[in-house]
Amino acid sequence: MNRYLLTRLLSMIPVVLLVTLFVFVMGRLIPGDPLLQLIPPEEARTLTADQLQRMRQAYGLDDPIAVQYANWFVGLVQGDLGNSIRTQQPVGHLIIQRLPVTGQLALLSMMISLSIGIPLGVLAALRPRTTTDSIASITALIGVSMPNIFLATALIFIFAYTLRLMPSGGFVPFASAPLESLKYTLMPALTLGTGLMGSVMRITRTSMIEVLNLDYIATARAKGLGERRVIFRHALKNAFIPVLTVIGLQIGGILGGSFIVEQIFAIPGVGRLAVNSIFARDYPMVQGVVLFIALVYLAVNLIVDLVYAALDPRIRYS
Amino acid sequence: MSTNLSTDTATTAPSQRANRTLLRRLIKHPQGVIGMTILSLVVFAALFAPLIAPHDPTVLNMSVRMQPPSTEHVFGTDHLGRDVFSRVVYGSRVSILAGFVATTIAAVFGTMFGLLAGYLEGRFDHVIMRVTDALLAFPELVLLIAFATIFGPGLTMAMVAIGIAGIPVFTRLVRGQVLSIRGREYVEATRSLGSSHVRIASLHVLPNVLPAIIVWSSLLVGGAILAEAGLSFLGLGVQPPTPSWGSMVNQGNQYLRLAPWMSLFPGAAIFFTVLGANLMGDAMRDLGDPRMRGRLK
Repeated sequence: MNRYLLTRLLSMIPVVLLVTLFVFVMGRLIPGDPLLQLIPPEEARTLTADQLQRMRQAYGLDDPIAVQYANWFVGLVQGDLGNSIRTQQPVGHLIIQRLPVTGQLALLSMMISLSIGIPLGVLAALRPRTTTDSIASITALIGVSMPNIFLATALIFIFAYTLRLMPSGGFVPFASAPLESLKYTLMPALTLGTGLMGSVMRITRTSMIEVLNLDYIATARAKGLGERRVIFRHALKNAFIPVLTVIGLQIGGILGGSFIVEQIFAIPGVGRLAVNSIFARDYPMVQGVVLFIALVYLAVNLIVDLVYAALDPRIRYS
Repeated sequence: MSTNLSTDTATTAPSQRANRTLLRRLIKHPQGVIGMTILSLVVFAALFAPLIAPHDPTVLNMSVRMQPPSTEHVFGTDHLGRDVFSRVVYGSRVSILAGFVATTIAAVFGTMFGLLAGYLEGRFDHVIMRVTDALLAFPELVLLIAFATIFGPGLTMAMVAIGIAGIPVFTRLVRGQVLSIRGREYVEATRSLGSSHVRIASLHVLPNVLPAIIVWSSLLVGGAILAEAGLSFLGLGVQPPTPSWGSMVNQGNQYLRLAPWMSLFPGAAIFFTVLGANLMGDAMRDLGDPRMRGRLK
């Protein structure tokens, strides 16, 4: 397992380097003087051309591009993502501040989608080509086709404005008032998790149907094991490997979707911070969020790969 | 030369036949028919929008602002008195255009890179695959937001960005297919007959990857439509006054309590279009998968 972990970590190095290079290039491709991405516009307007040139030198912006990237990368490794133009606070600090909000939302949406998607997929696989299977498959299709923006709007209209059961937006941290917090996060989490629920249900169904037709399941049944034990102890464990892959990939959908959902439900998370920063032309902030989310996504997929290897020894030794 | 021609015919004909058979089977697939019908209706609305829409989608009429659905305005009117139905009809143009243009960009460039990486292998393959891995490390919407930050908002930017975001997936899939095809005996035979790499790749390998590319493209269309709607919703896609479903939902949300029809109708339009695209994509995937053919008969 240690060898597998080392191989996976080493294979990630070029990808992480390319990701950082992409984000650095993104900053340099933004039209205009890169210096104006580092100082507030009102401050820049008060400076003379000579002062601007000196600042450019101080920030190393007249160095060759490779040197600029190396300096930027060294700062990055030390946790320095630069300062926000709007607030002049460190970008990393602002992201970390909002991370629990997005984390809570992502976690709840995953819990909702997995707790519905997996049982529904198992149920459909146990009764293939029946009404149960059709209902489950249609639910999954609706889930993967449902736009976040439509579902969020419909939920707010029904549950907040018409039935007045839920708040239409805002956020309360789970640690300060758990029940109140759930009330605020339930609709956004449901919106965010619907797509994942559909994908998980579909892959669980396909994977379970394949596994249930394998010889070892017939052997388990022939041994006289109860159906529940056959399904949950023997079939689901092996069927879960492709499901895990889909979960890893779909986490990207949840992270990306949080940009939209946090905007609709006025949730002060990382996604909302990024969207507001785009309109405020706070480029270091956008750059920081894009890099941070890419690295989180890579880390999540690494964890998924490790769980994958723990579940299936063939992967470790291949 | 005559030998080359005969091998060309022998290898391209089955793939053309496969494409035709795929289409014929699609017409008999119930999900495929529903998906095709929904998509055809949206494409029809996009093509004949001026004939279908009862009002000009951009003309303001403050005397009828935020009117609920009626016989005069079947989907009601918005905060500026514009007919929501007409805007939904015109909005289909943006969604269909974005869906197909972005998918075409992803399919063309993804196929090109995947073909080159899989066929040439070695250092070129290594570089292409590492870049692909790096691009796949960004969740799609995050990558789109990065592009929007660089190039600014607009429909062209949205289509190109969605297309670029789709390239890595195609590259990976096509490369995998090419690796399995390039070692086959007929490709070896063509190579031993002296055919050039370009000729082998374009005439013998590509046609055999084509059915899979068509299936993947059909699966991507729905995602591209959703992505465009998401970008327009955030204000990074189509700019006013051009009607687009995503921006209509965004504007409508500000008046959701008073005029829910402003956002619910364009939202439903996105849902049904993506549902149609997904139904068709699923049917194409089922028909392209030999394991599913027996079950579908």
